[in-house]
Amino acid sequence: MVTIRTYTIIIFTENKPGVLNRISDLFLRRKINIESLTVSEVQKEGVSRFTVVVKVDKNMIEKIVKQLYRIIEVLKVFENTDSDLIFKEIAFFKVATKTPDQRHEIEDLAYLFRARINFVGNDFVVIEKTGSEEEINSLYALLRPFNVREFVRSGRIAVLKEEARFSGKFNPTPKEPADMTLNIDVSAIKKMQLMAWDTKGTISLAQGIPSFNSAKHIRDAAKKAIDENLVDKYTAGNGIIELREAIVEKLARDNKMKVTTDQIIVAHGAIEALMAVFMALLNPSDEVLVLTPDYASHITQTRIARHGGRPIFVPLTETEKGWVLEAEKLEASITQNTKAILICNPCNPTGKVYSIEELKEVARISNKYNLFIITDEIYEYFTFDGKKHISIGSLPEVKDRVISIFGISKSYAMTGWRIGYIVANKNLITQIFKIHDSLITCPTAVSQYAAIAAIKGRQDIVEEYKKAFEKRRGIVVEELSKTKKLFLTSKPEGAYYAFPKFAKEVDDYEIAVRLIREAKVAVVPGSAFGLGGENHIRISYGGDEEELREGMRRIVKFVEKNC
Amino acid sequence: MDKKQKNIRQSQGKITGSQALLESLVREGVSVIFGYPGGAIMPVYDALYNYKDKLRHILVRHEQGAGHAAEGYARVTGRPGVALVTSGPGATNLVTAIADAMIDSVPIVCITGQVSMSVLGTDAFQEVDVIGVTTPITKWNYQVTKAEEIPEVIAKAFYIAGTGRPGPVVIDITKNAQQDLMEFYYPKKVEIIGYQPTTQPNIKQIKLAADLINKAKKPYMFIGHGILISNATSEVMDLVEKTGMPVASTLHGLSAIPANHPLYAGMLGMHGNYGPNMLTQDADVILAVGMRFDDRVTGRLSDYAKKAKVIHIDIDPAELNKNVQAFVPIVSDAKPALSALIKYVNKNTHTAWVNEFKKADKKEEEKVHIHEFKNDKDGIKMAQVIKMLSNKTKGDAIIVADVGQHQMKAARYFEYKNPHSYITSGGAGTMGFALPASMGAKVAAPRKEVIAIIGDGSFQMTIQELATIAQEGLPVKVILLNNNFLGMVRQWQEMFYEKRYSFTNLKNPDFIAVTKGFGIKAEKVIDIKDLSAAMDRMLDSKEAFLLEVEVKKEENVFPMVPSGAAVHEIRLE
Repeated sequence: MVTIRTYTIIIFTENKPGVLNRISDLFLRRKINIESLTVSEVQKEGVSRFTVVVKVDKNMIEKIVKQLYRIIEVLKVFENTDSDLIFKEIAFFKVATKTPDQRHEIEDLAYLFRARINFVGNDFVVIEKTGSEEEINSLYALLRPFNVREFVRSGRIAVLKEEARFSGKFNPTPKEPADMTLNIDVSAIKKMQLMAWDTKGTISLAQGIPSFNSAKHIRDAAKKAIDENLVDKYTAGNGIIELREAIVEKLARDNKMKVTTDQIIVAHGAIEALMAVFMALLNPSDEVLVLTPDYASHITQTRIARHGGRPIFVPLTETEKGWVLEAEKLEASITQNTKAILICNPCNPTGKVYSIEELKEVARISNKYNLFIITDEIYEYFTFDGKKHISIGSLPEVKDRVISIFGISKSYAMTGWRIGYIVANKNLITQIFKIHDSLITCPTAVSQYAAIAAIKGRQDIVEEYKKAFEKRRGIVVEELSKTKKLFLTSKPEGAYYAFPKFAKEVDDYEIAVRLIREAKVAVVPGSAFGLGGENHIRISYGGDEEELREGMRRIVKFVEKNC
Repeated sequence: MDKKQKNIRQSQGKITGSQALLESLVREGVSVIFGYPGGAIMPVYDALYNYKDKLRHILVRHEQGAGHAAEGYARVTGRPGVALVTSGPGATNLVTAIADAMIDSVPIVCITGQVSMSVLGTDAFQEVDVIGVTTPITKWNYQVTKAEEIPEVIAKAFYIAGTGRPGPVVIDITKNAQQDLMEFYYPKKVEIIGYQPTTQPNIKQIKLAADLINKAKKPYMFIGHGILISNATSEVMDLVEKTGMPVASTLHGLSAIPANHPLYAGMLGMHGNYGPNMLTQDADVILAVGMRFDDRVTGRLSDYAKKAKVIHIDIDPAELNKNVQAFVPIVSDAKPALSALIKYVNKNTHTAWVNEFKKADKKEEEKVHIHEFKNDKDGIKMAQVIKMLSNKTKGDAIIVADVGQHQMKAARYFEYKNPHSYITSGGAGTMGFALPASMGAKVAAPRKEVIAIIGDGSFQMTIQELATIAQEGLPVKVILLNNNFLGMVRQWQEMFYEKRYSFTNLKNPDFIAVTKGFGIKAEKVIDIKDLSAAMDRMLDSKEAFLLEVEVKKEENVFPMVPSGAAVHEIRLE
């Protein structure tokens, strides 16, 4: 027994000319009448959705579906009976209204059918009805006595009740990474470093790697941990307790921050810490204020966390007294969507160390607008000329809204060990931990033992490194004094970067590339660090003195000749 | 564009769309084009002038010939054949060949010129909506209106034509696209989201199939064109030898297994062998591979293979459960499916079952063959000619048969030894197919003996291609079986229309004079005693040669499953 039923066939195809022809031909050659047909583009670019209603038997619908799949452009076909679907169509009725009575009657009918009067003319009205075929048919039947001058219906559009059937079944661009990823450039720092490696004899002043080896007592601690079988298994996700206790002590001692061990997550370097924080705190629509010039990875990380959205740059003002934060500018950048202020202190790439007044302004504004403050204090110990690093997390008025990020990479010459940490209030830590756990499960065990040794061990090495960097800063300043074409507006106050400016306007990216190719010295173009960075280059003086001096000479020589 | 540039090889400077087209063809490994020039394709022909040493162009005498020649080429090589024609009538003349390729799953790429983009849709001179016309009969078609589209579209065309279930693709290129400059690149890989043929079988299904075969008392294998397309002939032999099951072929499956193989039962279908058709009704498991249960094979469906559980393997999911309900449907390319199946089937023999086929063969021999090969005062019989040809060539030749009685005789009485050696128009039944298709086959396999077997009716449909054969010096052999009738139609009129021979009688030209007029050697045989020597002269000839054999005027093809009958109602006389 053959049962004819109404089937709604939903067909997803590439949006190309001729597809409709191929689809309709398939019905034509079997002499099947198409009861209704609608086509439109769907949310996915380049994909069309056909809704075809036919009356056939089950056997035929199966054959039709298989034949539809033979059309090259067809991506996916769903055939459904009415019970599987939510479906509607739209109809317009243009009905004559000769007398006010008639108009009233028609209006009553429209009201009964929950239809809309769309237009009222001199002697007619246009009624719009959205509904099932049956509803439209019965409304038509009732309006007919009034003289329906025009009647048009859209044909059925339908969605499946069972949403799951749609997901992930087809994709016109399966092998493309996410749009966000495609739009992110490899960081200029990495690029320059790679180019430097590719060009023989190049001195790299690009990546910020201290020249020192990790101290002996740190390495011994790691070896010991290995030998005592302490490092073979996962540790607590937020870090072993001894390490967190050491951190608590260190925070109280050096940062004037009073916290407990459950306010700390030990991370895989400060970079993982930051990523976890951004992902935990930011919705795609949330804005982050970034005080620029600022470390390029911060910019990329916030973009990833926000599905590609760009951060809001608030440039500092470059003065002879250093880079200065203007509170009015910061405040003016705040919108309804602002969620956090990111502050890198001491700053990479400018070497700026924020003063207590500036930090208080940031604190005031965050309180006023209810913002988070996210810090990156990886260079905390490297401040020069008597400048002191102050952690904004130590200011009592904002202690609950600050998420502070520290690390041991730079302080103890341990960039390869990958240990950083997050400090925040307990509630936030609980949330951030979810992301951190998904990213890395736990920090590397052996590095944690090394970190305990670093934080609890002798601190004079930090002073030693600081002195070395200060000396190297001197080399940079000295060498730069030999040219007027590239200069420091002020001496860097901290970190181990100099961020000199070109006297004339140049394309800093092009100069950086040419420096590698022509002068065999690698630096990072300033524009990678956001607004205010353009026309600068970043010079890292973390490396070996001899190399640094030679590198600086090459820069000066090149600049003298070419800028 | 950026993304593309990463994946492509770039050449320097700009070239015209026409050059890009030819360069693309070269990249696809094309070496032969069958074509006919005209207004809207002239830029391509002009570019072709410089490609003479890379692309051999064969100038046919009618565009239909180009299409069939491309089909013949494809059937022998397995690679897409290429036809190149102009717009309007040039393109519409191709239509029959395109439809033929569609229904017989033959990969061809047809390139049609089109009027310039600026006058499209204005009823310009020689403008026809080729895309509209060919939509129902192509696997894919596309109109190119910009030069820069050409390489990607051509790559896609060859990919679609040649993979999955093969078929014809039409690429319509507007004249401006042929003339405009573009930067040439060629995509390394084609990816189409909506087109990803399933080529590997589902192993669960394979195990189910193997289980059925292992338990079967009367297992029976059907092989079709898919076996040849997939180059699965050795797998077929391995499988039947291991399982001991008899195997029968469809018309297009012929030559997939040597005709003298002990388990080869013969041909299925309306004019197939007696045993293979009859015993379909007794089989308990049918393994059908690369065939589509065409109505000429199944006869009346309601009475078809009622005792059998059918395992159906095909690369085209639309073929499964289309005509015959499959107990185990398997979507796959034949070769990997059979390779997988071989692993799971048990070694077995089915002597009694195979003997039933032998018994049936005997019956067919007594009722049909004896008469077919017996000398008759009314003239030579087609079967005698085919048998002699089969013996003389030892089955080692490519036979290109046209459509009609001679086609069935060539299918039944030539003992095919090598795969891809029986080429004919099956699904469409296109009269006039054989002469141009044999040109394509000869170009594809110049060292092989290519013999076209053609009836007098069919011959006159594409007779002008003799000129192509002469111009190209293609040593194609033609056996013209002349009964001065449209034989197959006449047979039906005799059997089902009370011998009312309505317009089937032909007054033919002097074929020898005509052929010689084209500059091709020709000979005519009337008496059976002259046949052998004449056939030797034909086979020995280094050039094209036409052997006309005047055959018995009213001869029938038997066995026959009459239209609408069940396969067991097969008639032997």
